Amino acid sequence: MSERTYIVAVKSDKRELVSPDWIKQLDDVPGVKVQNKTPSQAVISADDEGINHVRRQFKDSFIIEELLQRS
Amino acid sequence: MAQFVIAPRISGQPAAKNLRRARTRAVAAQFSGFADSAAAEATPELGALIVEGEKQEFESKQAELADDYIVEELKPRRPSLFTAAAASPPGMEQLPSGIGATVELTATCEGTPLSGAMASVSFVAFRGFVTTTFESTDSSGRAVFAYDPQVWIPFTITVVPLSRAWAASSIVTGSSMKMSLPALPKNGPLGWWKRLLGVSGSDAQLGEGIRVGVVDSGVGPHPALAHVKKVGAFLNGAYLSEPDETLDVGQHGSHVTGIIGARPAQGSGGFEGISPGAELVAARIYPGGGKLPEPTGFATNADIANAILALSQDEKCDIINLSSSGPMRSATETDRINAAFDSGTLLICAGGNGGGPPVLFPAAEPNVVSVAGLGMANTIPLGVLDVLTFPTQADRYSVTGLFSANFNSLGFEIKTSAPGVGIISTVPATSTEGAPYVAMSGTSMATPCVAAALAIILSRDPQYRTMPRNRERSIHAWRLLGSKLRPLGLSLPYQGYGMPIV
Repeated sequence: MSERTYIVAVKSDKRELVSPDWIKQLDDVPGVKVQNKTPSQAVISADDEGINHVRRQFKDSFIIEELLQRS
Repeated sequence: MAQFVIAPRISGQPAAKNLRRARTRAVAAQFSGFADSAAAEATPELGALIVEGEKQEFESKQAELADDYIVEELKPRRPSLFTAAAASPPGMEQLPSGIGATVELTATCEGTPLSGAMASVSFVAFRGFVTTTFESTDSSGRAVFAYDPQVWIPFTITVVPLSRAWAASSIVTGSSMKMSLPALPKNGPLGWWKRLLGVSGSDAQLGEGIRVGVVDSGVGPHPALAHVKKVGAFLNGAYLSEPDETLDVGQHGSHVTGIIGARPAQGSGGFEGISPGAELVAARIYPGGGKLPEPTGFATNADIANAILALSQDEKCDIINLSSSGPMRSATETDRINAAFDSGTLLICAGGNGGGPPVLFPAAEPNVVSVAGLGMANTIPLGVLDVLTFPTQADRYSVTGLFSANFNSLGFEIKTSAPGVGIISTVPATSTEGAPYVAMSGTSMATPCVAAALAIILSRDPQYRTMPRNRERSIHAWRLLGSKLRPLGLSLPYQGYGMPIV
């Protein structure tokens, strides 16, 4: 199954609603590996099943999108 | 283990397609149980099997095949591009670096060698393919490009110096090329772009009290940038908070920062930033370690978003300069830009160097000031690389001699335009030069011109400086900037609403 890199970022207007252990919850999702994190954002690698799970579980308070290049 | 190709011989035979399928199926059956894997995945319609097995075992099996099968070892093929990477693909025998011919370059400026310059030669193949290969010049200003003369013809050579000289390009006229690059002007602090923006002299107070963040490849070391606050690096989602992590991994960030607020020592002959009184805060988002022509590597939307958040919320910047862009919209960037806007921070973003529509992201977002680049015909020596930014369309030239540079990404999202061709600014010090300067072109250079002009405008507005950090403050800043934009007589996608004049 192909793995891709994604951003999971706390929506700016939902900061108060987010559980303090959201990174741990993210890391516990099968097929997901947290690569790096800050208090408001995580960069993860995930397979298709893993990212679908993340989207279902986190979509209300988080932005979930692929990592994009900028130059 | 080795890989072999088995294919029925079909040239000159009637009903080749059906014959090919039947024979391929037959040979697949013959090899099943012997070959490792690839035969099982073979597509009979394609008529060729890739079989993996021990060479000796394979050769004995091969004898059982009829003569009308072609059997040979699998041979790697690669794109016909002459690049350093293609010269040594993994798993292949290393080719010698020189394969027939060379172009040898010696680059100088005012009689002294230009070391560390990025040199490139573009080659055209007899079949029309074009490729470019890059080298750095050594301490004697020399770089050598090897190529296969049976495939490639060198046609242009380009030198982008680390400092002191303009970048230049030339037709390759022989195997030994000597290029003497024109020296950059030493005009003291005032560049033409400053005069155009309405700055008529050196004034250390310009932009005072305004905090400008720069999200880029880092900053310095350079004596004219020693005052810049360094907040670290945002890389692949991580934050490295040590100030040294902010040091420039290329030249781009130092150049951009210097355009806004370089403070050269008095009488040094160095170019001064447009708003040297502004407080500057730098964050690095490029990883470095890339290869020429992109030694900084690539940034990501994750790191831009994190840097915007830090410079807006933690560092309380009034303005953030972002001279980076990409073709895809990012919801994370948009969220952080909007949050910054709601906290009184206005982003100034490079529209991109796509050379046509569309405007790139995040410059195409509504809550940012997107910038296109302008040039001025008589400010650049003929023959230097920046001349290639001159457009050929008449409607891109204003009556004043300003033009919309041909690298601009175009669209109705462009809100302003500013000088961005042949802009001279600071780059990191080297072992040989303590305070170097270089000329660069792009919307990356136009963007800090707008950021600096806005810093001057805001610093002169007593109301702005007392306003709480909220959305109204950003709207007030945008209105002030809008009131200072002067239309140039160009269409909206070229100039936006005009160029700021302070």
